[in-house]
Amino acid sequence: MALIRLWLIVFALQVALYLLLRFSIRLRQVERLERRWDDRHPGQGDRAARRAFVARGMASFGRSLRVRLAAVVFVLPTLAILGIVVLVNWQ
Amino acid sequence: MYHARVVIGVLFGILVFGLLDYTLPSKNTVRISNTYNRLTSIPPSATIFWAAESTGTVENTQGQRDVRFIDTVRPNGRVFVYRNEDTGWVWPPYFKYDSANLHAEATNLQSTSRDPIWVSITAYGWRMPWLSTYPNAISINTVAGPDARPLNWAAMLICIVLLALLGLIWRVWGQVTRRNHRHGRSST
Repeated sequence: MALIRLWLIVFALQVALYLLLRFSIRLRQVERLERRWDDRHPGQGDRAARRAFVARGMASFGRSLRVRLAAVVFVLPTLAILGIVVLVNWQ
Repeated sequence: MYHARVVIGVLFGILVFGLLDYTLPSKNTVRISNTYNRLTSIPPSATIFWAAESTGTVENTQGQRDVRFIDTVRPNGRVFVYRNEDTGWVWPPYFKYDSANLHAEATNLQSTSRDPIWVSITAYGWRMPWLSTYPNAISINTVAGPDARPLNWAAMLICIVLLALLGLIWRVWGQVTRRNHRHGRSST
């Protein structure tokens, strides 16, 4: 019973961390793409062409990011908890 | 309004510091003088400083709980008492279940002042005699002498992770407000 509570709390925290990290990394990549477009087309600002360029660049990036981020955010804390259990209860 | 925000900020800081000071592990070099268990009634005002009931605590008809204690003496001669309880699966996240084993270890390492065995006890919690709270001993390791001070790497690691998390939130906040400024929207 308490184990289910632990799992729920840890899962909720992992989801929150995943969303936060995904938002932050995607925003940085969007800005990187925008800067790249601005370097090639100076002085044009926020145009439909730039938005399309960013959207194309984000399509494949989003897919690979989702997989890698999910692996890190959902696996690492679980491993950490298992590590603590072994470390604290080992003779 | 500004002063109210400052006061709230300071109170929040004190709260966070207190929470961390209570929950993070600490290491002390001591000599174990006695180990025993005793029926203790937990005062209602201090229940958060004792193990939750889901950890397998047992109470008798008078509402007393059988608790394991470890009496220790510090190198400066002052005494310090730890309790030895399981922590359960949720909070604090120590996942400690081997209280009986730990108690056996502590009993094995008992010593007299004439022939001391110095150990380093890792524990969390506060010793507040007026509230009858005791730190919870997590692990015991022998050390060379009363001056040995092993590194508290667990607390350092946790602090680094928390600071990294704080830095992440700070950076995301900066990103969001920067984009809002650029797009002409006003931030908070």
